[in-house]
Amino acid sequence: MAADPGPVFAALADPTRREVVRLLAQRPGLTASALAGELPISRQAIAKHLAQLRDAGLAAAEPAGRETRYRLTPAPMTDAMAWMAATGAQWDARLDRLRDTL
Amino acid sequence: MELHEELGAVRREVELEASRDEVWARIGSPEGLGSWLGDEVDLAAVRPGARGTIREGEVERRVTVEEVEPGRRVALSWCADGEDPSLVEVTLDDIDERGTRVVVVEVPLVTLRVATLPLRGAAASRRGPQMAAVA
Repeated sequence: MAADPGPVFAALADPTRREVVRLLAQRPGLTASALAGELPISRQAIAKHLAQLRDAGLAAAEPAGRETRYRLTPAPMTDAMAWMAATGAQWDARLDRLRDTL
Repeated sequence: MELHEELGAVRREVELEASRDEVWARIGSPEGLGSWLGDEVDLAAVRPGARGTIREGEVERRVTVEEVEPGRRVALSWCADGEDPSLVEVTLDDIDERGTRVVVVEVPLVTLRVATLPLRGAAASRRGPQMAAVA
Protein backbone atom coordinates (compact mmCIF):
# COMPACT_ATOMS: atom_id res chain seq x y z
CA MET A 1 0.00 0.00 0.00
CA ALA A 2 1.27 3.47 -0.84
CA ALA A 3 2.24 5.88 1.92
CA ASP A 4 -0.51 7.95 3.44
CA PRO A 5 -1.30 10.75 0.96
CA GLY A 6 -3.32 12.96 3.32
CA PRO A 7 -0.59 15.42 4.36
CA VAL A 8 0.57 15.84 0.76
CA PHE A 9 -2.91 16.58 -0.55
CA ALA A 10 -3.52 18.89 2.40
CA ALA A 11 -0.29 20.76 1.68
CA LEU A 12 -1.26 21.13 -1.97
CA ALA A 13 -4.84 22.14 -1.22
CA ASP A 14 -3.84 25.77 -0.80
CA PRO A 15 -3.41 27.78 -4.03
CA THR A 16 -0.54 29.87 -2.62
CA ARG A 17 1.39 26.75 -1.63
CA ARG A 18 0.83 25.33 -5.10
CA GLU A 19 2.31 28.56 -6.46
CA VAL A 20 5.31 28.17 -4.13
CA VAL A 21 5.75 24.60 -5.36
CA ARG A 22 5.62 25.80 -8.97
CA LEU A 23 8.25 28.48 -8.34
CA LEU A 24 10.55 26.05 -6.52
CA ALA A 25 10.17 23.56 -9.36
CA GLN A 26 11.27 26.21 -11.86
CA ARG A 27 14.04 27.71 -9.73
CA PRO A 28 15.41 25.35 -7.07
CA GLY A 29 17.22 27.09 -4.24
CA LEU A 30 14.98 30.14 -3.95
CA THR A 31 15.03 31.88 -0.55
CA ALA A 32 11.94 32.94 1.38
CA SER A 33 12.76 36.57 0.52
CA ALA A 34 13.02 35.76 -3.18
CA LEU A 35 9.68 33.93 -3.01
CA ALA A 36 8.11 36.88 -1.21
CA GLY A 37 9.28 39.06 -4.11
CA GLU A 38 7.38 36.83 -6.54
CA LEU A 39 4.12 36.50 -4.64
CA PRO A 40 1.70 39.10 -3.30
CA ILE A 41 2.06 38.00 0.32
CA SER A 42 4.41 38.79 3.21
CA ARG A 43 7.68 37.03 3.96
CA GLN A 44 6.11 35.73 7.20
CA ALA A 45 3.24 34.19 5.26
CA ILE A 46 5.75 32.61 2.86
CA ALA A 47 7.68 31.17 5.83
CA LYS A 48 4.47 29.59 7.13
CA HIS A 49 3.70 28.00 3.76
CA LEU A 50 7.28 26.74 3.45
CA ALA A 51 7.02 25.17 6.92
CA GLN A 52 3.86 23.35 5.87
CA LEU A 53 5.50 22.10 2.70
CA ARG A 54 8.46 20.87 4.77
CA ASP A 55 6.12 19.13 7.23
CA ALA A 56 4.51 17.30 4.33
CA GLY A 57 7.97 16.26 3.12
CA LEU A 58 7.59 18.26 -0.09
CA ALA A 59 10.37 20.78 0.45
CA ALA A 60 13.78 20.82 2.12
CA ALA A 61 15.68 23.76 3.57
CA GLU A 62 19.43 24.37 3.24
CA PRO A 63 21.19 27.15 5.13
CA ALA A 64 23.10 29.52 2.85
CA GLY A 65 24.81 32.26 4.88
CA ARG A 66 22.16 34.29 6.66
CA GLU A 67 19.44 33.01 4.35
CA THR A 68 17.81 29.64 3.84
CA ARG A 69 17.39 28.13 0.42
CA TYR A 70 14.50 25.83 -0.42
CA ARG A 71 14.15 23.05 -2.93
CA LEU A 72 11.42 20.55 -3.74
CA THR A 73 11.61 16.97 -2.53
CA PRO A 74 8.88 15.48 -4.68
CA ALA A 75 8.97 11.83 -3.50
CA PRO A 76 5.81 12.20 -1.37
CA MET A 77 3.96 13.42 -4.45
CA THR A 78 4.90 10.18 -6.15
CA ASP A 79 3.53 8.31 -3.13
CA ALA A 80 0.32 10.31 -3.34
CA MET A 81 -0.03 9.45 -7.03
CA ALA A 82 0.55 5.80 -6.11
CA TRP A 83 -2.25 6.01 -3.53
CA MET A 84 -4.58 7.41 -6.18
CA ALA A 85 -3.68 4.64 -8.61
CA ALA A 86 -4.11 1.89 -5.98
CA THR A 87 -7.38 3.34 -4.68
CA GLY A 88 -8.71 3.74 -8.22
CA ALA A 89 -7.86 0.13 -9.03
CA GLN A 90 -9.70 -1.03 -5.91
CA TRP A 91 -12.82 0.87 -6.97
CA ASP A 92 -12.61 -0.61 -10.47
CA ALA A 93 -12.64 -4.09 -8.90
CA ARG A 94 -15.50 -3.25 -6.51
CA LEU A 95 -17.64 -1.73 -9.26
CA ASP A 96 -17.00 -4.79 -11.44
CA ARG A 97 -18.29 -6.93 -8.56
CA LEU A 98 -21.34 -4.65 -8.23
CA ARG A 99 -22.06 -5.05 -11.94
CA ASP A 100 -21.79 -8.83 -11.57
CA THR A 101 -24.45 -8.92 -8.83
CA LEU A 102 -27.07 -7.30 -11.08
CA MET B 1 -15.61 18.77 -7.91
CA GLU B 2 -12.78 20.34 -9.86
CA LEU B 3 -10.77 21.23 -6.80
CA HIS B 4 -10.99 17.75 -5.33
CA GLU B 5 -10.00 16.12 -8.56
CA GLU B 6 -6.89 18.28 -8.62
CA LEU B 7 -6.14 17.31 -5.06
CA GLY B 8 -6.23 13.61 -5.33
CA ALA B 9 -9.81 12.55 -4.98
CA VAL B 10 -10.33 9.26 -6.73
CA ARG B 11 -13.46 9.29 -8.89
CA ARG B 12 -15.05 6.44 -10.76
CA GLU B 13 -18.22 6.43 -12.83
CA VAL B 14 -19.98 3.40 -14.29
CA GLU B 15 -23.29 2.88 -16.08
CA LEU B 16 -25.25 -0.19 -15.07
CA GLU B 17 -28.16 -1.81 -16.92
CA ALA B 18 -30.40 -1.89 -13.89
CA SER B 19 -32.93 0.44 -12.31
CA ARG B 20 -31.87 2.80 -9.57
CA ASP B 21 -33.94 0.78 -7.07
CA GLU B 22 -32.14 -2.42 -8.05
CA VAL B 23 -28.75 -0.77 -7.60
CA TRP B 24 -29.82 0.86 -4.34
CA ALA B 25 -30.68 -2.61 -3.00
CA ARG B 26 -26.89 -3.29 -3.15
CA ILE B 27 -26.09 -0.04 -1.34
CA GLY B 28 -28.83 0.72 1.16
CA SER B 29 -28.32 -2.36 3.36
CA PRO B 30 -25.31 -4.09 4.94
CA GLU B 31 -26.18 -7.33 3.09
CA GLY B 32 -26.31 -5.43 -0.20
CA LEU B 33 -22.94 -3.78 0.44
CA GLY B 34 -21.53 -7.17 1.40
CA SER B 35 -22.25 -8.45 -2.10
CA TRP B 36 -19.63 -6.20 -3.68
CA LEU B 37 -17.98 -3.61 -1.43
CA GLY B 38 -15.96 -6.10 0.57
CA ASP B 39 -15.73 -9.74 1.55
CA GLU B 40 -17.39 -9.15 4.91
CA VAL B 41 -19.51 -6.17 5.96
CA ASP B 42 -20.23 -5.94 9.68
CA LEU B 43 -22.63 -3.04 10.07
CA ALA B 44 -26.02 -2.89 11.83
CA ALA B 45 -27.68 -0.73 9.20
CA VAL B 46 -26.96 1.83 6.50
CA ARG B 47 -28.08 4.86 8.47
CA PRO B 48 -26.23 7.97 9.61
CA GLY B 49 -24.00 7.35 12.61
CA ALA B 50 -23.89 3.55 12.21
CA ARG B 51 -20.41 2.13 12.75
CA GLY B 52 -18.87 -1.17 11.85
CA THR B 53 -16.14 -2.84 9.83
CA ILE B 54 -15.63 -3.83 6.23
CA ARG B 55 -13.05 -6.50 5.45
CA GLU B 56 -11.67 -6.73 1.95
CA GLY B 57 -9.00 -9.38 1.51
CA GLU B 58 -6.54 -8.76 4.31
CA VAL B 59 -7.55 -5.15 4.84
CA GLU B 60 -10.11 -4.34 7.51
CA ARG B 61 -11.52 -0.83 7.60
CA ARG B 62 -13.48 0.77 10.37
CA VAL B 63 -16.46 2.44 8.77
CA THR B 64 -18.98 5.10 9.83
CA VAL B 65 -22.06 5.93 7.81
CA GLU B 66 -22.10 9.71 7.49
CA GLU B 67 -25.08 10.55 5.32
CA VAL B 68 -27.83 8.64 3.59
CA GLU B 69 -30.25 9.92 0.97
CA PRO B 70 -32.37 6.80 0.39
CA GLY B 71 -32.33 5.60 -3.19
CA ARG B 72 -29.80 8.23 -4.18
CA ARG B 73 -26.62 8.64 -2.16
CA VAL B 74 -24.58 7.32 0.73
CA ALA B 75 -21.48 8.85 2.29
CA LEU B 76 -19.18 6.76 4.48
CA SER B 77 -15.94 7.53 6.20
CA TRP B 78 -13.56 4.65 6.54
CA CYS B 79 -10.11 4.01 7.81
CA ALA B 80 -7.70 1.05 7.79
CA ASP B 81 -5.08 0.68 10.54
CA GLY B 82 -2.21 3.07 10.08
CA GLU B 83 -3.95 5.09 7.39
CA ASP B 84 -5.75 8.41 7.47
CA PRO B 85 -9.53 8.20 7.15
CA SER B 86 -11.09 8.96 3.84
CA LEU B 87 -14.60 9.86 2.82
CA VAL B 88 -16.40 7.72 0.28
CA GLU B 89 -19.47 8.98 -1.51
CA VAL B 90 -21.59 6.77 -3.77
CA THR B 91 -24.24 8.55 -5.83
CA LEU B 92 -26.85 7.04 -8.14
CA ASP B 93 -28.53 8.79 -11.07
CA ASP B 94 -31.12 7.61 -13.56
CA ILE B 95 -30.02 7.37 -17.15
CA ASP B 96 -33.03 7.54 -19.50
CA GLU B 97 -34.07 4.05 -20.60
CA ARG B 98 -30.59 2.75 -20.13
CA GLY B 99 -30.22 2.19 -16.42
CA THR B 100 -28.29 3.81 -13.62
CA ARG B 101 -25.10 5.80 -13.37
CA VAL B 102 -23.00 5.12 -10.28
CA VAL B 103 -20.45 7.73 -9.27
CA VAL B 104 -17.94 6.96 -6.53
CA VAL B 105 -15.61 9.56 -5.03
CA GLU B 106 -13.03 8.76 -2.36
CA VAL B 107 -11.01 11.58 -0.82
CA PRO B 108 -8.74 11.64 2.26
CA LEU B 109 -10.52 13.56 5.02
CA VAL B 110 -7.51 15.72 5.81
CA THR B 111 -7.59 16.98 2.23
CA LEU B 112 -11.26 17.77 2.47
CA ARG B 113 -10.83 19.83 5.63
CA VAL B 114 -8.18 22.01 4.07
CA ALA B 115 -9.91 22.22 0.72
CA THR B 116 -13.15 23.44 2.24
CA LEU B 117 -11.59 26.23 4.29
CA PRO B 118 -12.52 29.60 2.82
CA LEU B 119 -10.11 30.22 -0.01
CA ARG B 120 -9.36 33.56 -1.52
CA GLY B 121 -10.33 34.58 -5.02
CA ALA B 122 -11.54 32.26 -7.73
CA ALA B 123 -10.64 29.11 -5.86
CA ALA B 124 -13.37 29.83 -3.31
CA SER B 125 -16.14 28.93 -5.74
CA ARG B 126 -14.60 25.65 -6.80
CA ARG B 127 -15.23 23.37 -3.84
CA GLY B 128 -17.31 20.25 -4.31
CA PRO B 129 -20.82 20.97 -3.09
CA GLN B 130 -21.85 17.62 -1.61
CA MET B 131 -18.55 16.48 -0.19
CA ALA B 132 -18.08 19.83 1.49
CA ALA B 133 -21.43 19.50 3.23
CA VAL B 134 -20.35 16.24 4.85
CA ALA B 135 -16.97 17.41 6.11
